[in-house]
Amino acid sequence: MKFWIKSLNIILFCLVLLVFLLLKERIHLSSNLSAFLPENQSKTLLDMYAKFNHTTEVFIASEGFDKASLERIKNLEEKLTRSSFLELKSDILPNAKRLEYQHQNAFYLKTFQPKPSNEIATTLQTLYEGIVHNPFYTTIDPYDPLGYFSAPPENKNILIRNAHLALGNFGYLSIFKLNPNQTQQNYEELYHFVHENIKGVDNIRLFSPAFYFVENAQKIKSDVTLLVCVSSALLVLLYLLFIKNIGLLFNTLLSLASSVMLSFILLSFVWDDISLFVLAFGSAISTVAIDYMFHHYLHGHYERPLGFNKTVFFGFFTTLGGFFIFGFVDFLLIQQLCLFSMLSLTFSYLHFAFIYPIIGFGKAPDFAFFKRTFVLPYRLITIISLLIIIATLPFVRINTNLRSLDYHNQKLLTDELFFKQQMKEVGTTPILIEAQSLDALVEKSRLIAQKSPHALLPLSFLMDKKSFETKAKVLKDFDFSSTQKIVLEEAKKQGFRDNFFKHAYNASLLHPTFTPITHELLESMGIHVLTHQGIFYTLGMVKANDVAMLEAQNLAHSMETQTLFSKALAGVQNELVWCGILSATLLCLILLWIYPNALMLCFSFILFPIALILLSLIGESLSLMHLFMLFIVMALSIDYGIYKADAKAQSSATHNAIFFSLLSTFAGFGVLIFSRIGALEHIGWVASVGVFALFLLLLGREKQ
Amino acid sequence: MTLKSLVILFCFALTLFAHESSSFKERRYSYALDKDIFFEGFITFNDASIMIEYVKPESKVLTYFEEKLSIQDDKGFWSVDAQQMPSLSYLFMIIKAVHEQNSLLLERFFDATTQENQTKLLPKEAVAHVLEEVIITYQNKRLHSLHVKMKNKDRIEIEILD
Repeated sequence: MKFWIKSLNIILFCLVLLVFLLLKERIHLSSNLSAFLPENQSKTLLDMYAKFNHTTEVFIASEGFDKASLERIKNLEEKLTRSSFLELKSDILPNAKRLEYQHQNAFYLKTFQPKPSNEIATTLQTLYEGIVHNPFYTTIDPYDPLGYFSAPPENKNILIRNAHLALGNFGYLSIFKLNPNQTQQNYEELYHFVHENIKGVDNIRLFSPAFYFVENAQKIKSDVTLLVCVSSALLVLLYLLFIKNIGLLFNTLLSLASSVMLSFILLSFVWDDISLFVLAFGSAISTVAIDYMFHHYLHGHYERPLGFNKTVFFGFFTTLGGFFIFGFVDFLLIQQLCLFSMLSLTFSYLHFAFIYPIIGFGKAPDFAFFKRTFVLPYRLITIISLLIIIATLPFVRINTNLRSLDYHNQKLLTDELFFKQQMKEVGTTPILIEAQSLDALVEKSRLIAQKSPHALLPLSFLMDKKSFETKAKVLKDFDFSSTQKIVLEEAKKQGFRDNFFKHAYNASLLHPTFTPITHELLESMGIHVLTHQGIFYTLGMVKANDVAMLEAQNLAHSMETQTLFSKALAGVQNELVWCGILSATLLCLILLWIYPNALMLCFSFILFPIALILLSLIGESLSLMHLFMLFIVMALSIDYGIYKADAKAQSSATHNAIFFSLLSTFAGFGVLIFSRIGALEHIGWVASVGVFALFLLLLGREKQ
Repeated sequence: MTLKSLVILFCFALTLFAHESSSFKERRYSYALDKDIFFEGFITFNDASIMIEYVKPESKVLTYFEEKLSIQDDKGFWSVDAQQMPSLSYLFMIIKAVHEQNSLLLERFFDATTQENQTKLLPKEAVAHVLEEVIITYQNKRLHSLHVKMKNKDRIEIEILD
């Protein structure tokens, strides 16, 4: 029987591990931060933008414009498209259907600027002389010899050299996209496929937005692994140096691992994708749960039955309450962090509060780390901290740029900038255009093209019904039959072939049948338009300066990532603040209930860390993770306030427990400072300053 | 286009373009005017550009560089964007591809058949809207002439003199 009791934790761990292994396919970790944004209009737009599959485009440039460079890019094109996994997007050959449409509607797609009929002879003479005298081969348009119709300047972001797409002055460029038959956007498969195929090929530059997802995920995973290893090593060191109880160390590690696995399993039933940051944050939060073990252990709960430890329960309950409140913030990343923390802390607490006393462990070593000789004016500290908070609040700036939370992948950022600069995309912004019908989408595109002359819009060359009818009326009012007659007569006089201009300004071009814009027509022209809930969407590229004007006139939505993230997260910061206030109120009520006589002491444990954190961040804009962690530190700090205010507070066991708890919290969260990922580094910084503040408070004692 | 055809074509072409400068005669037939126009001059291939110096009927220098055409004549110096003129663009593309032995480039736009001293290039897809046929002939392993039939019934014949 004793063996089974001693092995209880191991059995539980094995069971959880078994379930975890069975269900691990359910757990999908994602590094895509935008997937965890709140559900609002900006998120919908970002989702629509993602559906255009721009993230899976691959850009490859071969250096130089010589034959070797062309061969290199051609070989790569052949290799990458051989398996039909990718297809070439950068085919410069004009689309036959598009040419046909442009020919049929030539007079409608061009600007009509007639000239006086007495200039016809001069115009024809100029044409004649051009053919005869131009050193280069010159052609004439037999349908519009007078040049009454002029094509609007075609904005192209592509450059052609030697009949191949070129990337500025660097070399040849090829753009690939996933084959439309690929139903799933598997970034990892794409990443490995491309890198396998370019192996050994020199003098090329490569970029794809998809690489961010793969490389950042790898970096985050390796960071998390490193952080987990460092924090585990610190914990092991702590145990070996002070606790010197290998059995307890072994069981604690098993309990933490069980809690993390169980939390992940349950989270996978709530959400299809779990943020990778949960893994890092989860590893850190599990070290907070060790507090509960230290307090039970150092107060002798594992040595002999001492009954229910209310102090630890209140500490656990307040932290849980904090996470519960923040779970209502409409930001999936924060919701996942909160639910994970609640589950993980609960499982750990159940282990340490109920299972460990049954298993039983040897007596805790008797030692004191420091003598609390200082008398700290906790009341004064509370007041000063409050004043600091009030004074710093007006200077607090919130940064809602989600990119600041992500991994700073310098290599990819450099590659992306290189391609953007060469493609002259710097200073341009992608836009999303939406309309109730395809015809309206074309109408809007044409309007945007007028208002933003340098815009790149796939639909602006098409004709919507309204524009068609307007143009038809203009052309009907002009006397083309007389013009044609004069052209034929004058052309003969000038020496042109007889009846060469007999098709000039003919009826089929002047009065064509309107071609309705349909999905089939667009597909045949290679134009991709999306439909979602009866709304039609297309993309475009405009000068960044024009975006505000287009948005103000409800013509387009900016797809500039930073703006969209900021808009999507604008509500989140208010919610975070409100949840913080609610959480603080809850803490105060709990404190009023359990320690009405030690309120100021407890408050100092909440306010002093916050004041110090705010001071440490003065001059910096706070990210959402700073803000979130600030409130979490508040919920964690109160644990220490509660322990300190406990009747047995002056016992060295309590102080040792608090000291160990702080060390373990630092081991978990402190190491995050060294992370290269914004979100983790911000969490780490706030937690470390918080731990430091708590440690200072712990050094002193109250005036007797 | 078969690779063999292109290899033969380039073997001949090489002998022409190995020279820095070659004199040529050009006959342009304009269907619109039903008239032949004759030119004479020299063609020079540089690293990144093609220079055509006309001496007859008038003295004019034409430089093709990065898809842009610069013209120097008695009116001064002016330029046109060749990309806006598909026929001209394809014409220079063919000349450049033959000079650089760029089979990849030609393969993309043409199907080729070679018979004795003649290679016929038949345009594919969108190029067929502009060009009808290109015939390249050679004599004594040297490029002799380039005949281009345009879709609008115009003709261009270039004959290499040395």
